[in-house]
Amino acid sequence: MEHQRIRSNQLLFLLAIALLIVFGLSIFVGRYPEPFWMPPALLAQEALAQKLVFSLRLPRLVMALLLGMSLSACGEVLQMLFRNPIVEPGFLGVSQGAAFGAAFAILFIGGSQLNVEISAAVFALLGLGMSFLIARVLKFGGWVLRLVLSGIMVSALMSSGLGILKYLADPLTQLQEITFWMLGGLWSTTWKSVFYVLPAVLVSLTITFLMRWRLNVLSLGDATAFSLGASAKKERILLLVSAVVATAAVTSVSGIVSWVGLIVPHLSRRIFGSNAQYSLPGSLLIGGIFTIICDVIARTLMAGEIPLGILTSFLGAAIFVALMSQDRLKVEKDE
Amino acid sequence: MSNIVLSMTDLKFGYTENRSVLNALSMQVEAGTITAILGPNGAGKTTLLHTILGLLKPQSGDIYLNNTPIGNFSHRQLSRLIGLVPQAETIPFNFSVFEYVLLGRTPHMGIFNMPAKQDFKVVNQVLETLDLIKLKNRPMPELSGGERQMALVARALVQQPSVLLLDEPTSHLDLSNTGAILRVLKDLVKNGVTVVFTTHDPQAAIYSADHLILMQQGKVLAAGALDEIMTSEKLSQTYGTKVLVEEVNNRKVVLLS
Repeated sequence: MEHQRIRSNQLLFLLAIALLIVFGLSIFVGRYPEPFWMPPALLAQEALAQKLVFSLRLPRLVMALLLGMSLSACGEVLQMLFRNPIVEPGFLGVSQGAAFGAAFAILFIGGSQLNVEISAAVFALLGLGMSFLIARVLKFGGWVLRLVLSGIMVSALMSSGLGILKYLADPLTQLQEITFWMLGGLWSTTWKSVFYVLPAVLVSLTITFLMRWRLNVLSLGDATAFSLGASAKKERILLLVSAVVATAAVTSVSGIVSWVGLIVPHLSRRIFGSNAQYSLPGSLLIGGIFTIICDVIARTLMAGEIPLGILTSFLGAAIFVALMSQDRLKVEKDE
Repeated sequence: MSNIVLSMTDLKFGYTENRSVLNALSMQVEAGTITAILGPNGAGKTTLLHTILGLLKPQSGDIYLNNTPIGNFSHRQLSRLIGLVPQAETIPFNFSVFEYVLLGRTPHMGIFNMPAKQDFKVVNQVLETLDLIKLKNRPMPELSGGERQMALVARALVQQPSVLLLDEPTSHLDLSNTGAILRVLKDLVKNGVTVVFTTHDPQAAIYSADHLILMQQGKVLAAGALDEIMTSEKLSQTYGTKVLVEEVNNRKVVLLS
């Protein structure tokens, strides 16, 4: 155990270094002055290069980092609280709520970036709130099942609303905008949007990080968690709300970026085991690295931008298949 | 009886208003003994344990721990005094035996804390005692039924409780594992722990318990020293079917007749 803890700490340290390297290198990768690489010397000399790096690439990199960390942490929190390894952050009506909010802003309150972000955040939180409220009135099953069911209901409700909005939208302008937003991407990121999501993300991720031992406890179910002195209800709600608030904040900027929150916690558990003491920080770091790399590919590979959501889904699904077809798949065996 | 560690008077509990599971239940548990709560399925045994634990709030009646009303303890204090070994727990993630048992140290940790040296030490000691040390890096889902049950007991023991509640600890086990678990319980009592376990198997009670409480439909039918309570008449009444209690080699044996 001693040996294992030292190994886990070493691995976390290596991942942190890897994240720093990926982040540092990504500053110089892009399509200026020519595709793929900007010589560091150029950054020191040229004003245009500096402007490009400091007002476009850097905020976007920071946002990719926050996005990846939030989605992965939220995924791991939900998977452990719901005791279900296939849950992901969009689960409680958050993604569909954000999508509805964004479409609503594009159609009715003018699709300025700030309007879209605020409306998406408001409806994402509304989705979460509705999931909780409906879960409370359902007269069926235990708390977890009720919450899962009401999350599915709210998602369906929001996506039917989204369907109506798409039907009403002007197909030449608004519909394109909605579709593009739903594919997910960070092209619109500015320092302003970074500072606007930063407080929510920092507070939420700090709470999640500090309470990661409780995640282990809560994953054992209510009676056991209670007998170990945990106030299952209160702690679960605190963890859920922090995780989902971070997701709602980043989603309001990025649009829907799927698969990160599902695949990264799995990857992290493969490396660190199920103990959230190590697998949660692992998820944060891997999520950051994965999303930064995907976003760099999204803005560099082709002359036009590839929507980030497409890349994360593509790479995520590919990694997932590779991971799940390996042997030693006793990882999440439910008995 | 002297030295009562746990007592309940007129305990009433129901999941709905008009259907009560515990019905004016009163019982006492003596310190440093093994008490078996025996009764048919649905008698309210699990509900009783969850009520003692504080997980379920009784509609009326009192529970005293060390002569103090249980409401006077904080949740965290209680979790250091009473340990629970639940019946057949689902473990959805791939914790190693060591990590899983380490979770039992949670009552001794703050809400933002991680386990420390002292916690590892206690876990290692308990794993040694229960002969689980060689399995400590094995994933929980790979354990056999008996090993798994032993790990559950270990997790409750690292809480260092003075009262250990076990819910049907032997119900899925073969004879040799049943014996192993019951022997562990007997050893615990020698170290001053008070053990209360539920079972629907009279033989498990005969093998290990000092006291016996017979439960039926949320009520105590009979309670006292095992030898006095374990009779054909009382068991037949408890289970609602004819049961014979015979003596073989000075030990009681329960037979369906």
